[in-house]
Amino acid sequence: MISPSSPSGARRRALLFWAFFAAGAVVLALAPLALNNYWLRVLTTVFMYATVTQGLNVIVGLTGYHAFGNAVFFGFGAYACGVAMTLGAPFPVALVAAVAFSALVAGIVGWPILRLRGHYFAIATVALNLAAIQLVIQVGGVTGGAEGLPLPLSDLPPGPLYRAIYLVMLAGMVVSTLLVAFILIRPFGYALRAIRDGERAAGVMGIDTTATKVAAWAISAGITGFAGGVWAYWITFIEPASAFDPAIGVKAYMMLILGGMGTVIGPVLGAFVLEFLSTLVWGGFLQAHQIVFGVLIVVICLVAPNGMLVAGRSLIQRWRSRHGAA
Amino acid sequence: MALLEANDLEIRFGGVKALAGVSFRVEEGEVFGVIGPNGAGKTTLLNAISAVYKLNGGSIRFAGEDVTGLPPHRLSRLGIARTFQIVQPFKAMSVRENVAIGAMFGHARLRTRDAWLAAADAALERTGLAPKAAFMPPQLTLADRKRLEVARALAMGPRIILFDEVMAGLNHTEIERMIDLVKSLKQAGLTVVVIEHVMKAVLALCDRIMVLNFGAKLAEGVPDDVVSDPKVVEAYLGQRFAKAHSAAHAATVAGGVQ
Repeated sequence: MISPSSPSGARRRALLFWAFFAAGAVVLALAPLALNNYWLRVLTTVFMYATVTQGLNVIVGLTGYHAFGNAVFFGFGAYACGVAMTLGAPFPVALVAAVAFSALVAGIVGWPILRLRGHYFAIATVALNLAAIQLVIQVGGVTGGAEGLPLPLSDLPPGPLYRAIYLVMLAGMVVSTLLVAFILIRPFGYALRAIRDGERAAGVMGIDTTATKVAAWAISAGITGFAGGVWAYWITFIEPASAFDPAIGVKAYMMLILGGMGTVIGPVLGAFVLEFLSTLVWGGFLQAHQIVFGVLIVVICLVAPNGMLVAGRSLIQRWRSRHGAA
Repeated sequence: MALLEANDLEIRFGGVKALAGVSFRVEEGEVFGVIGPNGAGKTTLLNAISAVYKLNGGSIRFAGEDVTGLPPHRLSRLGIARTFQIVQPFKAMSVRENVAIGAMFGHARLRTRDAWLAAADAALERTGLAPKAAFMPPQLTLADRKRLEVARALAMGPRIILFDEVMAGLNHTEIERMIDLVKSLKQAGLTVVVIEHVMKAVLALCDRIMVLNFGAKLAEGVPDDVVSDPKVVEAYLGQRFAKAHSAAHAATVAGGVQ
């Protein structure tokens, strides 16, 4: 029980994990051939939330900095994409602009506020979210202000367009998950985890904590901005209240907690389970779905406060010890 | 030439001067002890040197260079390592990974994964933690967690290590082992600063001692002079220690004569 497993066992499990991951990605990529529009939309939403949650995972799960208002970058991504397309940029270029602009904002804002520790940073991100709404309204002009911003329509007919958006969202989920896995095996990932577990010790051991945190937040923002950019193109009309909706961040937080903070696949699992659950509840309880959903969340937090992965692992261990395996 | 030179260090917390103008020099290769009653400013002094706290006044020179105001990570790469009194392991990483972080980020020259792991393994070997390399920090005893602090500092390939009460909370056997470890570091050419309450360890290790009281220097010198200084006895050691120490000292001198 002391060392969790032999190196070869760990490698075998990692291989198995990535084989499953690749197979899952392929199945999901081929799924639009068989899915109707309803399920296409549900899955696109799942991928969107999985991407946002993976972005949140980088700053909250890996770095240990709670960012309650992280969905602000969803809004920045949406508006960067919308404005770029209004100015005539094609969608791929607008998407690059969404990622770059979100990361840039995080870099600039992060430099001063990531010197704050603990709750102060969390509160500052919430303030940033509220400020962003006012900013868009006040700037007006090319952002459309309070009236909202319609995006240029695509030349594609609706069917192929929604399938294309499905695939782009899927790519966002897959790439952000691979990125988190890659970060975790790099020195940068070790620096993030060191900051999470003991920032002072990390500093005196040679980690430039401020620069590392800012980089992590910029990556987090870039991932979140990507999801926002695709979302804007998908729904074709954005307004400050919906693009910067704090509920997006709250939902991503629940998915992160449910799936498991700081894990590679947790955010994806959390997004699938919670979004499907919410869809089912919504279908079953048209009047009271918010209440039923809320109660479900409370139950999940009580049963699996450290996420499904940890809860599942301890369940398996308990089962094994009860059945006296080896 | 002094390796570490502190001039008029001053740290204030609100209106309280935790350090009120402390100056000292640590020579290359020596073990320099800092003692004093609780609240005298010993840990604050260490935090000031390692830039965990910002100085309100004074300057620090290391290896002839002015390092005043440099952030902690820069100091670590220049060769200043430290441990924490309240151990701060990265609890979600194995012991080996904890130590490798020191080599990865705090070492001035190592660039490859193999070099980091080799430095980590060498530090684990030196501190006797090698058999527990795969452990997670919560599985370690306090003595081992203190060793982990030392191993992490060693993996950085430092020129000076600042120990913040590495003996505190250990039993007699563990203290003896830790004393041997610090002695071996001195023999290997490292310069060491120890903050310590365990006088047995201080006397066994230190070439020179500085005594702090109320954030100011009360005395400085070789151990025997300092512990028999009436001011130090009054402020920190107490009459019982002074009597016991002078009795033991007289006995060893007498034994030497015979």
